[in-house]
Amino acid sequence: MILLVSGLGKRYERGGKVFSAVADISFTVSRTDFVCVTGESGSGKSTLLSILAGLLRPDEGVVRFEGKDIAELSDNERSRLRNSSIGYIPQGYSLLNNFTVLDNVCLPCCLYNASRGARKNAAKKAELALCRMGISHLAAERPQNLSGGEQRRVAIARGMVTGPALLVADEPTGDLDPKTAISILDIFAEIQRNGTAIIMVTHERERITFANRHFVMERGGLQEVFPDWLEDTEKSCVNRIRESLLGKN
Amino acid sequence: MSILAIARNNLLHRRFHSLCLAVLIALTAFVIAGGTLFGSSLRNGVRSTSDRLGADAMFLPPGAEKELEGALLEGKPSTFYLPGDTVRQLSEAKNVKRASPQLYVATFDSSHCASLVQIISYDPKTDFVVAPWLADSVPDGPKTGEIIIGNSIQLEKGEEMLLFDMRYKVAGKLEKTGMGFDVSVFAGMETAHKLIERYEKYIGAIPMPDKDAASVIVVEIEKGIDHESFARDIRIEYRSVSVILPQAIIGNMVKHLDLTIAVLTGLLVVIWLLSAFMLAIVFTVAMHERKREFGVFRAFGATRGKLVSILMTESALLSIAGSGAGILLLCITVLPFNAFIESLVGSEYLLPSAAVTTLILGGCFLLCASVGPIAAVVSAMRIGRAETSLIIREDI
Ligand SMILES: Nc1ncnc2c1ncn2[C@@H]1O[C@H](COP(=O)(O)OP(=O)(O)OP(=O)(O)O)[C@@H](O)[C@H]1O
Ligand SMILES: [Mg+2]
Repeated sequence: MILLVSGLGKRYERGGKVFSAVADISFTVSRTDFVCVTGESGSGKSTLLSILAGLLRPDEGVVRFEGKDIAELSDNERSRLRNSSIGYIPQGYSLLNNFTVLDNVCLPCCLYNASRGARKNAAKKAELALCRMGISHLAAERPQNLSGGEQRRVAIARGMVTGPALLVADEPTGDLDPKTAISILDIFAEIQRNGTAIIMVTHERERITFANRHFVMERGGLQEVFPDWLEDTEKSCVNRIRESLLGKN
Repeated sequence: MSILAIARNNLLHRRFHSLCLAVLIALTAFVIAGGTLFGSSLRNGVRSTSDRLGADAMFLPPGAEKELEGALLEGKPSTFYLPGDTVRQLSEAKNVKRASPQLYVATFDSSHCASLVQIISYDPKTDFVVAPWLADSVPDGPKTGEIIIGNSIQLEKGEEMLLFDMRYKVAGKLEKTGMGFDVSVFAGMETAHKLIERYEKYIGAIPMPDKDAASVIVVEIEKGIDHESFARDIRIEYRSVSVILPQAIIGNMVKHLDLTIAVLTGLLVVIWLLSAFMLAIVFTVAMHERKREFGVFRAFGATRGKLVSILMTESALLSIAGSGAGILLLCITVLPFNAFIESLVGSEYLLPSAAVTTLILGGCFLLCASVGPIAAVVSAMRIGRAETSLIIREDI
């Protein structure tokens, strides 16, 4: 088990009224999981992912990554975690226009106390990641000169460049054509087989087939959807096992 | 990419913005270094004047005060004499501890002399004012037939100078004083008497009353005697003599100077604060615009410290470039015209030695190079503290 989430909650205030963007969510993710999260717009998916990626502090509950409570880590340890153990692909445009595509992808390799040797190595890793995304010819370009789909792929390459143990992807295939989207999800499936757990938010139902688990988010709450072929008794059995796992932690 | 490379990249990306800030810092550095240099030149000028006028009192012919001041401070040569017996009486006057005569002779601007200079001769046997600082250039003082020249005279040690159709060997050249001494020639009494003999052959020359006459007597007053009352007593007793208290002249200069420097310093501090304040505002606004960028840095593993150090490096690079440019500008636009400034301001102004000037410029460079980081520190800390996903969310 790489990730354990229990009793997670995050509240926001809007117009003087407090509401829960994430409400009492508990689940576990194992190292071999490819988790898909769907849900209506505004249901709290990005908020949940930000918390899982260690970018946002929850108001209640805990997130344990490899057994450690993220909230209890120091800034230094959490930065290290974000840098090398968790790959993050944010929703929307997140590239920096003052860097080239290659430097954008290199960034994670350079930001956390990287040695000179590691920094040199970074360019190679970044080129490799761009190559996998099929956009190595754009390495020297500025992100603003790229199409939306190309920019997405740069962001995906950046999320994967450090070879993380957990990849948190927020609508990574949102603005890609079906063919490119499928090729990217093939890559996701491949890195999942190589031991990276994946949590991906998507709006496209047909992408769910790549995942081995499916969650639906609704008004801050999270529900696991089991395949139709599972008997009701089996579903409740799986749930009980999971609850007992959560209870132990 | 190192922190430095990231910071440089960020600056170059916002080229116009960076340029404007660098120009602001350059102007600040220019004004602060220029002002400081001007202030210390004033201080140095007065100190040098006060060092050179080492006497407690000077006796001179009545009515020659203006001429003496012109000769000493502004470099306007003149000739005047006190008769020999007056010199003798005055040298033994009450409360005079030491006295030494000096002769002031002005050359003519003609083919007989190299240039218009003030010849000042002193008596090495009794002198206590001139010799000490001449000794820096020529330890034994000028021998007969030799002269020591002021810094602004266009000759070098070992060359000869034409004075009343005679050539005199330059035994040494003094360092700059910012006073009339810079265009004066120093000689021993014997040399002076020979010069005067020849001088008197020219039309317009003022005849020397007798062999023992002098232009000025420099005096050290006995300890514990009030200078003002000493001067009053002398004026009452010897009606044919005028008394100057150099420290009174300098006292006025110093009073003037202290006020000028206080105002100048105040202005410079205000300018520095103003530019720090302006930079702080600009940085704060810029940080706000750049939240997304910082969020991305944080999301991909930059610690708070790293983020703060990227920002501090940016502002430091900016300040170093700006400050360096400002000081360089000062060096190439103002320093070459220093002689002109000296002639404008007069004897109160004397640029400090090269080493001190460099030190001052270096200090001003550091002061202005620190303005950026100091201005950036608050906004950098604030960005460092903000919650990561909240800074990213701005644009996402
Ligand atoms: N910083 C914030 N302050 C106040 N409300 C916020 C903040 N961030 C998000 N919200 C609100 O919380 C809710 C959940 O937002 P979130 O971005 O997680 O939705 P989402 O499921 O990712 O939506 P989408 O599918 O459109 O991306 C939304 O109603 C959003 O408006
Ligand atoms: Mg979202």
